[in-house]
Amino acid sequence: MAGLEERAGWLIDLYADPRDDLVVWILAEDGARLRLHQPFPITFYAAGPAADLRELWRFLQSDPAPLHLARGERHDLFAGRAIPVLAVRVACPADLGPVFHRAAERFPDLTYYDADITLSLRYAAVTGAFSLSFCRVAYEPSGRLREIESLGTPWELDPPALPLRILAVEPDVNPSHAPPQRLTVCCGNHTYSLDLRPERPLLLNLRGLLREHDPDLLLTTWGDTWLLPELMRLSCEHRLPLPLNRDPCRGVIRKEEKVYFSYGQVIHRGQQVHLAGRWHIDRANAMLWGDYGLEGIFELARITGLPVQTVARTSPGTGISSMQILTALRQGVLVPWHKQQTEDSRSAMDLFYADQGGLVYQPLIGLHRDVAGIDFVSMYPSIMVHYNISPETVGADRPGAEEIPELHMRVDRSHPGLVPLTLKPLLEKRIELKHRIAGLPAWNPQRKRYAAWASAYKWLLVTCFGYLGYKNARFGRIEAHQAVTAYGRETLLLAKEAAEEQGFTVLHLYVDGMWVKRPGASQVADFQPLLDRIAEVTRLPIALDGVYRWVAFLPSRRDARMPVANRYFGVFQDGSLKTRGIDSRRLDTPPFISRVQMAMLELLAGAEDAGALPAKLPGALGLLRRAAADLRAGRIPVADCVVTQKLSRTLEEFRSASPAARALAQLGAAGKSLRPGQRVRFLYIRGDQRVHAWDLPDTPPPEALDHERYLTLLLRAASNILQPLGLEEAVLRDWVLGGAVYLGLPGCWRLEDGLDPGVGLGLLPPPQNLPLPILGDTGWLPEESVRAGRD
Amino acid sequence: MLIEESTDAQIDLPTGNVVLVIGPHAAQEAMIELAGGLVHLGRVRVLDGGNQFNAYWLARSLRRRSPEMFPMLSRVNLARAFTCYQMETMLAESRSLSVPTLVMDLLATFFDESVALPERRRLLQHAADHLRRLCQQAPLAVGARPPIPGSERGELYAILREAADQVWEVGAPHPAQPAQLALF
Amino acid sequence: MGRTLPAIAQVFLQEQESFARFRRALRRGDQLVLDDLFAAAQQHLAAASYAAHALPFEIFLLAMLLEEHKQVLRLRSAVAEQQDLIYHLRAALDEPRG
Repeated sequence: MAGLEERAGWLIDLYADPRDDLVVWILAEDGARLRLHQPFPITFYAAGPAADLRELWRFLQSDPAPLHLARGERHDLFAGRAIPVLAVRVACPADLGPVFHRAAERFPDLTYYDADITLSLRYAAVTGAFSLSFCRVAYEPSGRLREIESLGTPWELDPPALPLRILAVEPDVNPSHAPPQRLTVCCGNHTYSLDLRPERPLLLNLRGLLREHDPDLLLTTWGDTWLLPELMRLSCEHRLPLPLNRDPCRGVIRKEEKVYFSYGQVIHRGQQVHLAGRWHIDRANAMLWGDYGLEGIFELARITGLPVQTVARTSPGTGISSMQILTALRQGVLVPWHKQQTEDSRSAMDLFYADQGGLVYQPLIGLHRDVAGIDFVSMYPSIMVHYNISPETVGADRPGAEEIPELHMRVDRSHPGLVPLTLKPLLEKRIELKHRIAGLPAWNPQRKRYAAWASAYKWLLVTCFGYLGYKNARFGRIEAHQAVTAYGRETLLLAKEAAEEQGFTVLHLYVDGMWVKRPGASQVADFQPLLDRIAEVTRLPIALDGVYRWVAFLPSRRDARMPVANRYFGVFQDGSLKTRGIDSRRLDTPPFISRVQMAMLELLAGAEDAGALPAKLPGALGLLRRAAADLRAGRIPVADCVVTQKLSRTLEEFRSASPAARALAQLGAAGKSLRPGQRVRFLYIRGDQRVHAWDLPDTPPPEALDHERYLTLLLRAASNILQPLGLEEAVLRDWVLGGAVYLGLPGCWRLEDGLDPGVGLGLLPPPQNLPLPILGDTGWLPEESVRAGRD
Repeated sequence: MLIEESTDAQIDLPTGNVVLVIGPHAAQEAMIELAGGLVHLGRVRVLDGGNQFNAYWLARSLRRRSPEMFPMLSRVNLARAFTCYQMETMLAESRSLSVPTLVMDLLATFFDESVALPERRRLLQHAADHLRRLCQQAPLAVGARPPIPGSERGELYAILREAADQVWEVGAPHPAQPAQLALF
Repeated sequence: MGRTLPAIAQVFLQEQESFARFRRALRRGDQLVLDDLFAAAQQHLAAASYAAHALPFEIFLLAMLLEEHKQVLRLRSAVAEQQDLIYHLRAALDEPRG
């Protein structure tokens, strides 16, 4: 077209604007940052009795915003057919909110659809251009966007790399801990240190940096909760405008903090600061930052269609919901504002079958050698895709459809459902990614990038099952949720039966994983026939997680006879460790204890074979003794002793003076408040207070720490991993604290075998005539203390 | 009115009345015991708003009274609501039948603060209208928690109370006999 | 959406709890034996859950029996081994000394 400019680039931001309708930011291949705009009318729908719809029509005709009304029919997923609707098309996207709220307030009994959908999803559905997609754009010199065409899909494995300009800003200390004094600012190869006082020069310098570098991403630490609000306050106070936004016509958007319940948990969302034309990401407020970083965030933006700034801060549940909404928009299916669809009525007898979770077989406690860990690959999402489970495909009244095991319900597999349609490309991309990762050497940067993506997908896929049963999920439905668990149980039982047919003992079954062993089976090839058979009977993707040299399943701390699901550690044949449910994986374990436990495990992992484990025990005990000695001598840095707990209630709601409640009270007295869902950090100290909140201005000296308490925690962590070798906590305590002996005897432990799974591995009494290697704080101890220790 | 201690729980629920049963845990045990009594006479419809229908209790209670436990359990029809929108829809879509209806912990979903109070008030008013409709052909009882005066919850309770013809109160459950109605 | 029926582990604890008075009146030694029986049943919670039985205690009783019978089988084979050994020892003792 004549007079049009064409460019290729990435879609980095879009938002509604009262003057320009829709603003679209393109980061062009040639480095230009383009602010384009276009008209973008938006439609929402209302359904209900014809008379009420006529009333709504009349009401909206006098609405001040320019809009267009029409009657029509749209497909309702839950009704399974097209329903008559009133379509309200709003000319300017910024008018949608006000118009819709006026309608909903006046006519609350009508059912509304497509009313509150994120703009970027609508844009993706209409134009095909999704967040961060590489596009070709054609626009007028005025900036009016005429054409946009996405040149790729979210499912590409190698999208063109985004040439981002990043400005990173970080205060010198955590502002909730102490008032920061200076900021470190990094851009490109330059690093600047800016004093927070005096304030005027700080503002002038920052303004200069922002103008000079014009970053696409402002990457901060504590930017949501402290830095940006503080800078905005200063800028206002000194009347020195700070160009935080790239779009000068827009204000910075601040979202207040809130607390809400989700999946039975209290979630705290801190306040947020969003920018226009440029992103702000606060590392300290980004979801799962440690897991997948910027690469994961960008990939999530691509596949969920959410804006980068949103996706960085939202839960995987929101991501899954967005993907489903995008599928619905593309299919022309109505997206309900509130889900009203209810559970089908059923016999109480059915409840016993339907209301179960996944199948969990208690493990056979103890140490086992040559064990295969077998996993169903993303089992629940795979089931949803394979069996076509979706809110609209599952139900009692579907003659001819396939019967779901146990549930007196059927699933229609003739047309792909909304949920499977959404998940299929995600599952396929994840599997492809896994293949690629396996084929890349560890040093390859691409591998790191793929690993970040894989981690982001894992969270989405883990969440999609729970989301199906989430009460507020727009495309959730309890029957579909139950169908998935029913197929899950069936799948695991089929796998168990296949294993037993081939002579394997099933040690543990946990939701989507299975641990098996068989005398004589120790190599990957020995387990292949079983994998093939399971894949054949279940028709779901299955993978060998690995063959363990040995693995220990741990009992309950309360009762040593009681097994506990998913609490184990083991060593694969390549020497790598796998741990679940032990102290070092828990948030509330102080870092130094996690480190000691992991170091001990790594030492044990050095045993080539389970038979060589006893030889590793002296070394592991040595580590433990050194840690205990360091602790008592005050050589452990205080920061490594911090205990972190997630708050589930407010100070007033605590019934007893638990350590968390005490810490909370101390923070309250210092004028700092935490809300449920936030994390409280504290130290155990001696004296009446017993704890010291970590985020108070002062830090206690190492000698104030309650060493006894930490020692108990340390011994507990050590005994959790040594207990399968026959060393109980009390014995360890005696050894570490009183007299200290370790009898390095090959006969003091044995492997679990045969019919007798419940029995622990007892420590046999040492023969008297063997030379005793003795470990102590000071090295070898005299013979007398050996006897004392044994008594 | 107080619920008499009764081993058979053949409690007379009058047709044409909305009976509000209040007690701790929304009178969960009393409601299940009511279901156990009614199911001797025929089908029972249970609408559950608070994940309250513990079918194990019902099974145990039936087993004590009759060898016909399994067929009786099959006569109970259950549907659950997890949001106030669903509860309102569920009541609206329930046909008025000659089958007795028990609504368990009706207010639970209306206590969800993520929905604006005026919206919850409106939906609860609709729900109350449907209760009046549903009690015309068969007995109907609604379980609820005792009101906290002056609170938002008290206000919602008042809407429900307004729709009720009778209020029965149950006391705290007796710890040793979990499925028994206690004297108040 | 939460669940309406308690999880099997919770049902188990409730069932165990309902025998608190019975347990209290037992002699100490018998209390421990009773605890063992419940611990045995607890090994089979997964199967008990899958059974989806309206009266789960019936399943727990069966699980106790199952573990008891396993113990019987184990002891039976141990006794057989011992008897074998005794037989051979006797035979060795009875042999005329040469």
